[in-house]
Amino acid sequence: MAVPFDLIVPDSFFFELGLVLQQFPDKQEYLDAKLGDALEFLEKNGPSVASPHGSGGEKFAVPLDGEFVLVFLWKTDRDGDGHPLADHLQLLTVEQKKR
Amino acid sequence: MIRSLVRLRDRNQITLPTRVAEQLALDTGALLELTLTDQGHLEMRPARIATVGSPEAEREERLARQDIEQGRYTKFGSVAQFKNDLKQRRQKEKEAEERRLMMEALQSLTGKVREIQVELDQMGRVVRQAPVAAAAGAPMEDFDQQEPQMPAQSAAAEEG
Repeated sequence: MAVPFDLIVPDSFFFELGLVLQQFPDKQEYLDAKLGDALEFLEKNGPSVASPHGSGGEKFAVPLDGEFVLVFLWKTDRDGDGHPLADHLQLLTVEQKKR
Repeated sequence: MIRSLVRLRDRNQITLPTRVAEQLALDTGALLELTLTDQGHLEMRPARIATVGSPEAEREERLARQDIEQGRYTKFGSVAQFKNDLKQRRQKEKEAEERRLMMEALQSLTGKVREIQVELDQMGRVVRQAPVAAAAGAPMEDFDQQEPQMPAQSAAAEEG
């Protein structure tokens, strides 16, 4: 059974996304759509479809397109028996892949 | 380290000292990130997209976590809500950009109207001075050489 889900978007994420779109104004609609697609995919499938990002094992990344990745945290609240109670998708940044 | 004093002008504008712009290789149109810290300090840095694994990326990730910890975030119950919010933000940005362009056009027009007013004032002054100087015995050819000239009809009408 699906558990409650919420999406947490820090102010700095909107700032970073705005910066990307300022630098690539012709990609605005495209990147917004790609971001929406990636988030819908995560909402439906959870973080197992993403790659671990950096060290520590708590950050994940999914590609938005060939050039940018979405970095996020996925947190699950659990009861005393370890059963999931709620999922929280916390966005961190949009980063450019190394060339 | 370079420290400089800059003065705030009309509409909160400042000019970066040349050597600062040169040191950072900033050209016209470069984006700068301004941060007002909790301590009331204003920090300015070139705005650059973070590359995976770079110190900038680590900083951005750290700032995002801080935002969440300190309550600077928006919570959405679903991705659909987020997409709707994003659409509204884009619409507002578009409207703000249109307003900015209109203001620029209006300011440009106002500037041109002022220039025309100044020219008209100068023309009017020349025309008004001409009969006075003629009565004082100045040769009329002096006035023939003054530019620009108002049509004779208008000058007569003004006198009448």
